[in-house]
Amino acid sequence: MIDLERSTAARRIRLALGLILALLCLALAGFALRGFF
Amino acid sequence: MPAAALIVIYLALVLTPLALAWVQGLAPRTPWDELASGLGLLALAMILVEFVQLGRFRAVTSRVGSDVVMRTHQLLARAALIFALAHPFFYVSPLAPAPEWDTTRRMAVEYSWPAIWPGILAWLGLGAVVAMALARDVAGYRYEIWRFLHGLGAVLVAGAGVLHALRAGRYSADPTLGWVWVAGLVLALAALAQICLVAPLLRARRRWRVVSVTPAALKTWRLRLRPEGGHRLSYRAGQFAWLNIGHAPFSLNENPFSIASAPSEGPELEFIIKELGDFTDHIGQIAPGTRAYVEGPHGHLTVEGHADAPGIALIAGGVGIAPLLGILRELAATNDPRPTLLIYGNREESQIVCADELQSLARDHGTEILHVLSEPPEGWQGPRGLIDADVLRRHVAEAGRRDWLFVLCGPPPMLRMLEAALIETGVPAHRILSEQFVYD
Repeated sequence: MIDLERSTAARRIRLALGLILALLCLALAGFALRGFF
Repeated sequence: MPAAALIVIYLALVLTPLALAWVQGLAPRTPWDELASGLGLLALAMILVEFVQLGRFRAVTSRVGSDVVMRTHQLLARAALIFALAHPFFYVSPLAPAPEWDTTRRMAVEYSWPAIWPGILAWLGLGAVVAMALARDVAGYRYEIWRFLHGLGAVLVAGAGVLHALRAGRYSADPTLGWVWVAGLVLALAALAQICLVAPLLRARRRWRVVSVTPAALKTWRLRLRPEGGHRLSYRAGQFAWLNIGHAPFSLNENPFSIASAPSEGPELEFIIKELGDFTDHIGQIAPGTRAYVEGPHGHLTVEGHADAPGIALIAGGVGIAPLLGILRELAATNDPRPTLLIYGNREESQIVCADELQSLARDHGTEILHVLSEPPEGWQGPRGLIDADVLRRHVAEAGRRDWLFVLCGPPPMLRMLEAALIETGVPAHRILSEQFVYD
């Protein structure tokens, strides 16, 4: 679990961007593979 | 949680074209073709949203800070570049005119020159814009030229990208998605126009004059501005503003500087500016009376909203003292009863900014001031070297100041080290304020 109380600002930016990119990639994969659903 | 709300808004904006393509109900092609189209849709949406991630829109920056907005602008532009670069290479269907019976263009990828050339232009342009931004520090472009080329390149990429989507896109041929692209482009250009046209028009009526330029330390100047007419800048101690000195209000010759004055001291503004090898080398030659324009305030490096902190520790490296001096001056001017500590690192003694005033603050306001010098003169009694974990341990942990508010300003490597060391010492992250504009 991520302890935001003990997290630097730079690390929190990386976490937020990681979350955004993971969700974008998930949406992209869903779009590309929707023919199989 | 405002930052989380911004993430949700960002995702909603960039995923809208993909969602609209999905709900069109067109029969999917091969996964590779769909991936290629999806990459293009995402990349273009991300490029358009980049225009509002510029650190100048207070609705966004007041929630997470200009530095965080600019950093996400940089990093998400790189992600958009990767998506855009990959976009054309995943198509596996033949590059051929679609047969007449294939009304949904399922069997072929549009390849006509009018549809392709804007895509090639946007593809190459985006690579050039991001590469130029990455190389900015090493290439040493003049800042205002870089800003102009970056903005022009971004407009070209966005315009060509939307044209390419409208002419070549299987999904963007749908009128709804087509209008979404047009609206997105209009909003992106409006965001840029706000910065380049509307904001300069507004500030053209709010003129300032240089009152004085005096030495503050070795190669560091104290620049004071006075408003012409009855206006004044409403700011909080520790914020920064974009300064345009001696140029027309629409000039790109403006740079961000921390405000070193205190709002309670009156309408005049003071900036501490160090010679950094660019136009700042000529700061000392600016004549009193020179016209100036101020755009701001920006930034979240302020102690307001932290009234529950029992004390305030300010940690500065070099010219990073500027916003912290503003905070110290404001605390003294408003007779804030909380104890204050300033840890101030420099290479040599002659670089200490406003040394006399700092002594006065120590005497009159009770601020504890600790100068740390990496190249101290003979007989120096204070700490030597850099502000490091050891200095923090002695003056924070062992002094029982873990619950204080810590405000940091200085070179990015120093800030990263200090943030990590303070957290290691047991200071909660929400008690650490810092702003850094370069993270690489």
